[in-house]
Amino acid sequence: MKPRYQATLLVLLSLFTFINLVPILWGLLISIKQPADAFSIPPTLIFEPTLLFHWEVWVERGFFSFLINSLIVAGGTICISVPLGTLAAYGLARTKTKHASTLLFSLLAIRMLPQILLAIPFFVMARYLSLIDTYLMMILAMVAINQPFTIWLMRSFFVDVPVELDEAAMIDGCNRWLAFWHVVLPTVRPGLAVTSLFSMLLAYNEFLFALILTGSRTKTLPVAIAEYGGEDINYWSISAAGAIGIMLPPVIFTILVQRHLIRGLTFGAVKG
Amino acid sequence: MGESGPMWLFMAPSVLVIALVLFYPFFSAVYYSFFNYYLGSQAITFAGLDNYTNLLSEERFWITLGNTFFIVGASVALQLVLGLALALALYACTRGVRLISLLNFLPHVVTPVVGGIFLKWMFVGRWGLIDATLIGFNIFPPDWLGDPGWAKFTVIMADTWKFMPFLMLVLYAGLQAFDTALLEAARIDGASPWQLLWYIILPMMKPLILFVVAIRTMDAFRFFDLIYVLTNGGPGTATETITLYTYQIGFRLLEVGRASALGVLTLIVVAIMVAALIWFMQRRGREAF
Amino acid sequence: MAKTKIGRRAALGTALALPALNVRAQSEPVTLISHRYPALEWYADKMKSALPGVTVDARLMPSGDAGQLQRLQFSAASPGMDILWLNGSLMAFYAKNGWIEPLDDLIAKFKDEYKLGDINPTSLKGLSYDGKIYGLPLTTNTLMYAYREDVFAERKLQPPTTWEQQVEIAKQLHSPRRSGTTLSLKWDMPPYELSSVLNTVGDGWFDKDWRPIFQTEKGQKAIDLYKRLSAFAVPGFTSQANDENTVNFAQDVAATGQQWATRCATMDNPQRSKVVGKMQWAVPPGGRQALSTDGYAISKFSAKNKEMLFRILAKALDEESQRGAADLATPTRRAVLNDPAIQAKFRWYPAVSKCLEVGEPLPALAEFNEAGELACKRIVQAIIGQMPVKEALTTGAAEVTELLTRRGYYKG
Repeated sequence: MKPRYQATLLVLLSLFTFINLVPILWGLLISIKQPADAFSIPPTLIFEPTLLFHWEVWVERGFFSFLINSLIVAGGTICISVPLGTLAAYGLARTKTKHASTLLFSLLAIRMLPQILLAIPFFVMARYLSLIDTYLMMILAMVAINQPFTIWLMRSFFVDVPVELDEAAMIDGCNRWLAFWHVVLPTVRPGLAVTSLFSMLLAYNEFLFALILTGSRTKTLPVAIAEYGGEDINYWSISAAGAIGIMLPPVIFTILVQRHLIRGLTFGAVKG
Repeated sequence: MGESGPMWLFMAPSVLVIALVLFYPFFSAVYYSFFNYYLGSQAITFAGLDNYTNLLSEERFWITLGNTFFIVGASVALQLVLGLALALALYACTRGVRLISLLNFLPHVVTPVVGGIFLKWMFVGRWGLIDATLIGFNIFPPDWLGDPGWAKFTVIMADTWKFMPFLMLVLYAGLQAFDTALLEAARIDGASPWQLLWYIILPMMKPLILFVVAIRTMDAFRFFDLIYVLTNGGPGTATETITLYTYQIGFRLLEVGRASALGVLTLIVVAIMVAALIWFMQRRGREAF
Repeated sequence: MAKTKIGRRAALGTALALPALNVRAQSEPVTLISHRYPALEWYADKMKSALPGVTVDARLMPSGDAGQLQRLQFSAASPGMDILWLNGSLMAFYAKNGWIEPLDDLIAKFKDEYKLGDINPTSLKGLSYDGKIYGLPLTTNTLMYAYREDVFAERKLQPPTTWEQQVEIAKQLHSPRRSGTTLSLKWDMPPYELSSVLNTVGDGWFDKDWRPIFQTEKGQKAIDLYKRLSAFAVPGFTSQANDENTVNFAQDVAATGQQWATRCATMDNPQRSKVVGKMQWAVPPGGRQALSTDGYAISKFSAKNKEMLFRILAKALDEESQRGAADLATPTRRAVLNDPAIQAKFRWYPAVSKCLEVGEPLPALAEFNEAGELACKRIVQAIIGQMPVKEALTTGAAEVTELLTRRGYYKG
């Protein structure tokens, strides 16, 4: 019974996974086909693969430097956003007053305003501060926009940690800070991993703000790829190649974080 | 408790950064909503609540709001069910979990601008993958992007494809933080899998479910990139969401004042919904919020 | 001078932009914000090497993003953009707002040095507003009637001379596998394709006082015809634009349709097309199809020397450069366009020349992009049957009238 149940589960999961991945696999195939084959009816699975477009994107069109820019923005955002957000989330999760909910809710309100409305004032502000085309502006914008989400996500992990754990630590002589640092924080490690991952994705994939706030020195990959949105069929192959390449860093990051997730699980036993 | 002092200190840095960076953009957007402000002209004049009353008396506003509710409701519900099912399946599965969860997460990693193009290549008439495959078998499928009903369906599927992995991962991470002893105890007591799910797992996951549903509702309201690429709100107004409409007013008609008012209205609608959601969850169990 | 201009724009707190107008500006690269298609990549490259010691930072992206970024720069009176790509409708809008420099004096001054007298007057007119030239034209693109020569020969068909005939032809050639026609009605595009029908079957878009006339009885007839034509169109036409149409033809999914001259080369490229040598082009039924002139302009808010900027543009568009881009876009210099060698080399050029003679640019209304979008949205609703034709058109016309009233028209 048990193994059979496991096998069925695995088959179903694999099938679902495959269907889920079809659009990406199709994009991958398009990136290694000539446009005439890429959109043929019925779809061709046997063709002469070409790495021409990948070569063109990463070497001839210089996407590698945009990748570096994207990584700097994403890395900077994680390094600022996650620590700040985690602190605030812990504060919120352990505050009993009504103000906490109000604060949390008003933070969320910022996230509810369509971002396109923030774009114009953001541009004006960045110009005023002469911060157009700098990493700093882009990172600050990403951190600020990302904070409500980071705080709320981390808070939901802190809420799961019994208050008794902090109290026990404080009875043992820790102050609030030490209790947080040595006792509570290790138990929410999966949360930290997940939060970093989403912060990274948000900053790394951001398009609108990157379009407005970056220039030739700091242009990020999504902006570079979107530059090939159309008007020539070849551009589609180029953006497909870019789209496949741009996925690699977050996928690697996801793999790293996954390991952490599993480790976090074993540490989670502390909670019992 | 005399605790709130140090707790505020924890929050201070974050609040400071948000205030410094977002204060000006956020309030200027709200400010402009009370003005006649057209990017093409030099003059901006105070309009009071005109922008708001004009929008509220407009048929198109209500159509787009209705579309938004329908698309958001359907896609968030679908994502939650699929994401939860997948998270539970992964939790129950003993082999290949890491690989499967990684692969299923990939759609969420795709850059939104590109995600739209990927999906377009699936759904576009005739030479999109779905059509091209079916035509190979001499089946002529419906017009995914051009028929008002199917266009809604396609857009919902697109949003689900992109964001279901987010729910899956957060819920799966939540499951992992669980106290397994409780589950074991219930299992030994003879609880069926459904009972386990309904009485133990779901209540324990309530804060996280609340979190993902609220976040997704908020974000789906601003759902933009995919629809923009796939149907651009068409055909007619069939898939025009409120954000797409905001974009049209603000960035294409360049009426920043009116667009800001629409943005503020969106904010109010979403705030009410999220507040209702929180209230609903709170009523069911105080620990949720 | 720039200061007073900016001073008035207190709304955006544009005094804010002043600190950036510093002396350093001259040594910084010249910034171009442009649409991207192969011809524009070519000319952007030419700009980079146009003047020794001047670097050009070219930002090329799809026209929607480029337009958005340009408007953002203008509305913030930002010197962060010096030169820009534009088409006729964008030009009218920018010129009306006083965001771009009139080029008449510069053209007169450099006429001999850069042989500017050779530029096709039609193209210059396509970038003129209120009697002034605002852009240096790089190409005048035209819609053409594209059809499958092999299919037409087999059925002994001729390219249609009326739109009514086109409906018949589309119906005859329509099969599930290969649709009778392509249509592109993605409504955020200016309604170029609709113009051909509205100009010939209907009364056009606007009368001379900018009152909408696309809803007249003849206009209704035009849209009704288009609706009948759409029954034989490739599915999904409401979400399709030029790219999708190009693939529709390239993958043998459509037998006829309107196509831009810039797309012809793709049709004969075996790596991109399955119909190499099978396409042919003609003047659309009745002519008066949309023309679109693309060119480069100079931002009013640029802090750089305007003569220097103009020289970059003029050098990039010289004869040699246009010759090199002749397969990518129809050149605007007569010496290149009418060169027999070029006419012979690209088999679609004779048809292009004919189309250029009978085409019509979109109405020179500064707000045409905005008005066209409103109208087109309703027209699409009529075509897919969400609304009766008459009701859709009258609603659209009312909305356009309302928009233009808000923009200060019809005052007298």
